[in-house]
Amino acid sequence: MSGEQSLWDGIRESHVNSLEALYLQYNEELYGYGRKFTSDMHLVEDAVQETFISLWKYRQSLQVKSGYSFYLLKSFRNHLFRLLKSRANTTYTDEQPEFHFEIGMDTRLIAGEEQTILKKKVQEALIQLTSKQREIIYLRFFEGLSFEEIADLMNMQVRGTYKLTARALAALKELMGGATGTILLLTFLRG
Amino acid sequence: MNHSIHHYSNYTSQQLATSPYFLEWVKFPDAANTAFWQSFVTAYPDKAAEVDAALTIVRSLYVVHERPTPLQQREMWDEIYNNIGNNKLYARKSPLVYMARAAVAVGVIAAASWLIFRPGNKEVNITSNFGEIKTVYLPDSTEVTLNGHSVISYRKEWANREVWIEGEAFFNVKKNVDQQFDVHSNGVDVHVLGTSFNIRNRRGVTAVVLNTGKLMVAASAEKKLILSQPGDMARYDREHNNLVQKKVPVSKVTGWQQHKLQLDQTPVADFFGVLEDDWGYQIQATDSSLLNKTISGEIEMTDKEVLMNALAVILDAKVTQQGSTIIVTPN
Repeated sequence: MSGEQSLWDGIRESHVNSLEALYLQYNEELYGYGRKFTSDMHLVEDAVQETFISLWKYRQSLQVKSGYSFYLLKSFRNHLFRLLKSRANTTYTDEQPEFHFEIGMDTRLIAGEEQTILKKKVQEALIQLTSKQREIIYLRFFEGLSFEEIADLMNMQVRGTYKLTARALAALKELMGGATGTILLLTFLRG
Repeated sequence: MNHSIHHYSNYTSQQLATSPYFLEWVKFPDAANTAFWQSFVTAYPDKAAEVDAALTIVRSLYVVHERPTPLQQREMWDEIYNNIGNNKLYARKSPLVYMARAAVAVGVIAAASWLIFRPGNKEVNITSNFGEIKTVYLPDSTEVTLNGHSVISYRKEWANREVWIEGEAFFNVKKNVDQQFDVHSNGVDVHVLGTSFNIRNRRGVTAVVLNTGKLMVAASAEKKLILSQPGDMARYDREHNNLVQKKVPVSKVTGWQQHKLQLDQTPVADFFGVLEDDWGYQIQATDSSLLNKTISGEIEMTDKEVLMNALAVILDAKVTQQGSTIIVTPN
């Protein structure tokens, strides 16, 4: 029915142009996600390439359960982490990949000084969070993934993602400042 | 879980904007959370301004993305292509092999195994999803902005500046006096040297509107029109093989690039057609006389909620949603 479905059918039937069309549709999104883990452009490029090469390699036995774009995202994240890990091994560092993203604000909606201050506040607050917390906030509120998908993607329990979001936003509340009173556990925090 | 609206009674807009339940509502509205925040505003009417401000903050936030350059994208694809093309095992299963054999039969050399993939890979297709506006750079660095649910195709080797369009696109053609630029769309050919223009083909009708420069629209050897003034429009109806020239405000046909829909005495039926063709919204009117009305104005197409509110106001109707269908019931 959808154009996307026909692309995947085309790949299963070994049409290279279907793979290329899928690549053109998703490479920017995957690359952008990857660059939030590392500034190493070439490593991210490799991960994008490996994602599509392995998709082609296993096209006959593809099992896509929960949406095609999610399948690509998950496959990409796995490839990226494998590459990051092998690089870490060769350079004898054991740093975990850190997820960072930069916030922008639509100047048509909020203008001038208020915008600058708010943006700075949010950015500073985000830096204080853990990498996992930042990634969950990004995936949930900017990419629109469900908590089930986030848990699947990050190899966590669904409950764990809820808790991490809640804690992340609790931390944000402290950092955004100004609120008084008790913090209600789990979801209802004073922003 | 304590689920009371009263917890939010002292919240400022910034605090609301970083509350999970508020974020969930803005980003993923459903009946339950909408009712919750409505009752909050009803109970604390003096907080309505804070809620509005918080909404603005949340909606204005976006993430800055690192994008691969067009060159990077092409290089990554070449790398992918070389890696899958060398895989003979899979090449044998490919139906493209038949095309390769035919090529050999007519005396074309196909020595290396990667060549087998060439015939199937001649065309590049770039697609936008419903509601997605996408900018594409062609090999000659011509800039093309695709409206939602549209496709642009061209031959990979790019021997001629020649593309095919389904749906709607705005072209900013790179100037090159030596090489003509051709756009094919539903029975119409557009020949240009360097110009910007909009082209839309939906439901058997192709409309080309000139922005700057000069171009020729041809439906056949005899049926041709030259567009030379901004706002000149060539409209081709394939079924009736009818090519006519009109004049329209340029902004009316290019507003979609700013996520805006411009309506100028537009029949409601046509407006619904656009929402279906470009955005994938199925719209049902409970009273068909509504479809004959005409409307004017500008609609921000930022999200579905805004659209539904705008529909309710413009059409003086109740607008509800059932699955993917938007139902319009005139008041």
